[in-house]
Amino acid sequence: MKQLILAKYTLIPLNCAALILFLIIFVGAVLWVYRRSGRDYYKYMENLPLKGD
Amino acid sequence: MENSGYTGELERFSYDDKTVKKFVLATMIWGAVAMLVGVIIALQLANWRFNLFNLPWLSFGRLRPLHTNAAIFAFAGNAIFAGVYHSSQRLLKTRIYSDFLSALHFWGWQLIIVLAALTIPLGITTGKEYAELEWPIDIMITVVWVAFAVNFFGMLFTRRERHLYVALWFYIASIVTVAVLHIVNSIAIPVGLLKSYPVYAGVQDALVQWWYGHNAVAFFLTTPFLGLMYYYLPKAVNRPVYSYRLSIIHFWALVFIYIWTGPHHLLHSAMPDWAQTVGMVFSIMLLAPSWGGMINGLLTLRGAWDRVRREPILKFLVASITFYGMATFEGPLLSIKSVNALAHFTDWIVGHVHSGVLGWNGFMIAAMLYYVVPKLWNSKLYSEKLANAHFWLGTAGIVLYMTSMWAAGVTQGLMWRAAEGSKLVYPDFVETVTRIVPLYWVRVVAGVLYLTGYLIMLFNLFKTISLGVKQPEKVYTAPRLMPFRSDKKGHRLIEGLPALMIVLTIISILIGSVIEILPTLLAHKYYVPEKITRKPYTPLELAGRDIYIREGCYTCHSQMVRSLPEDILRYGDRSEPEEFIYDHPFQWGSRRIGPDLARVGGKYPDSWHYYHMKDPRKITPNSLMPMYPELFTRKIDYGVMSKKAHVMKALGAPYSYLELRDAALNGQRQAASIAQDLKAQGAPGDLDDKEILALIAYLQSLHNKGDKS
Repeated sequence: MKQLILAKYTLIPLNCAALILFLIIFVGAVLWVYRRSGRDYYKYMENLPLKGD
Repeated sequence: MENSGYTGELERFSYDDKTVKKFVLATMIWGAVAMLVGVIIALQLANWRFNLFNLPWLSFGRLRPLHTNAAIFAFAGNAIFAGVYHSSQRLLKTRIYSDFLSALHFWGWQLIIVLAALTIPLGITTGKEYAELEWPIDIMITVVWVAFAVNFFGMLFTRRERHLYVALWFYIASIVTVAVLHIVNSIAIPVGLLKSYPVYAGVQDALVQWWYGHNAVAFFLTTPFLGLMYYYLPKAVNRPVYSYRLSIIHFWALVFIYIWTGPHHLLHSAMPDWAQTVGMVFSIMLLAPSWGGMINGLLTLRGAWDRVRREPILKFLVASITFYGMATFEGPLLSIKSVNALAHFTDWIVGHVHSGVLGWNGFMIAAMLYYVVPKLWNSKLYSEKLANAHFWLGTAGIVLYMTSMWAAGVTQGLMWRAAEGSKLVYPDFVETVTRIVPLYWVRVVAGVLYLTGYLIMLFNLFKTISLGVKQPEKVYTAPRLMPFRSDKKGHRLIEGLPALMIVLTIISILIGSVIEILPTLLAHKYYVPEKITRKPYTPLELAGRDIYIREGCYTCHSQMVRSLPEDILRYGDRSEPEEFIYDHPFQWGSRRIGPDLARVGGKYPDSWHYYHMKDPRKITPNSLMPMYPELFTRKIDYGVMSKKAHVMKALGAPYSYLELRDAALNGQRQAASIAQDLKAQGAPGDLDDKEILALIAYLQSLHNKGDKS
């Protein structure tokens, strides 16, 4: 069994589950980053390189 | 917002621009060397006579790794250090942490480059792509990288700006990940001062190597340059990045996904299918963050596109980001198994790589140099016209390079697979090479155009430097930071705590690494025992294998019969993982300028190899292969055979006590036997201790080390 899993077996269900999990995390992160609060903070951060020489 | 976290107490400080200047100059000089060597090896592929005077240290197999190492670590490396030190000081409002570490970093890195420039042409190499340097230099790289890391993280912890701008996250990811990649991939057991064998073998080594190799592209040629983009693009346009929110998504998605993609270099190979599929899926997913970054870069120019026409720096930036977008579209495309089946081992990959390095990296470096040189030397750019000429020559060079290599790659790939029933249309491999030689000449022209543009830039920048006016070191003031307030939330909390940022970044890159590498490292334990019928290399075969590695044969020949009909039809049974269990390092290769050699043993008599090495054109008219006269004069080192066998035994090769004790004697016996055969076949009789015998022994061993016979 171990031989098959580690050497040959194609773990398609596991791949699919991982893909769905990563997609959920990704969508969650996008929603979190684009929430309305923190506008001032982002404004401040994006202007950081423009300060100084 | 601006005053949060500050004491109000002003501190005076200055920037260390001397270190930045040194790295800038090193970038300029090493870039010319890397590109010049690139043009030379392009000529060698267009016409074998450019392997000048048949000198071993000027042959393609040795110069090609020199070119890649010079381009990646000398040219791009020095540019990264210049940009990181220049931008980080300004983003963090602090001086580089330690003058001593800066000096150690700069001179240490230059010493490594010089040692690489000496050892690689001398054939002192591990035979692992982009990691060719032998173990003492690997240790030096580790020391210098640690000096760089301490210097950089020291700046983070002595900063006067609370929050870490997105460029700094990319620098953090680059520094920690390159350290992990370098250390894991370089673990080896030394045979002597200039020779070692990696602890990984075959499939293990292939996965670790391409996990390293592809992430050298990711964390040396991509993430640091994205950091540079996020700093120098807003500076050059004088407007903020299009979306800071998008940059957060860009960073975390890219860092997490990139590390998984290495196995796409091993599709259809003996690598377990699950690892191939994971590599392919993550490569396709990588398109999203990559294009997120590209879009973020290009949209930063909103409302300023008219300036692109006038300002050369913006031209370079826009073209660089566009090439990044093209390369990161092409990468996922090439990772799809069916596309990869056509493209892998062909020049399509070479074209893809160069669109990234010449377009994305080369042009980003040019933009950075045009921006920082006048500022650092208190001068004005000598000539905008020359900068524009550089841009158009460079662009023409890249476009010509990419299109010629696409055409060469697709042509050769289609010729390899062309079959009528079970018969190959082009069974003679050299036919598929001679057909693309005209495109190799086009590549030479492309390289000359790009190099000419680069030399124009050097002239322009040196003139700019010569016009500089010396000025005293500027002193800046900024309020000191208060201890961190823990009422921050979300990403603001992470950015306020560099240590947390570093830990999260390490976790992000370790997830993919562990999931891919760990099962592969254990896989050898679970191979089907009945299939492990191969024997370890004899001492003479091992010596021959080391010659094969020394001469860089892997730069043109693969040793991997893929599970594709055209491969099996041309070369024989597909390669199995069990065939490679004693291969330290693996030699699967990444390009077929010559045919695959996995089943070459026994295919031809010893005399065929003898005459082929002496003058390939005598055996295969139109061959591009260099001649190897030194193999007929250099003597086999029998004295080191026992030591090599002992190291291989420590790595798992089942040599008996007698085999270890009599390694040199057995090597001599096998060499004498081959010499006798050669003599019988008409070769000169004074070959008993010449290296050609060892190489023949190795090549003849290749067909059934996996016992396919």
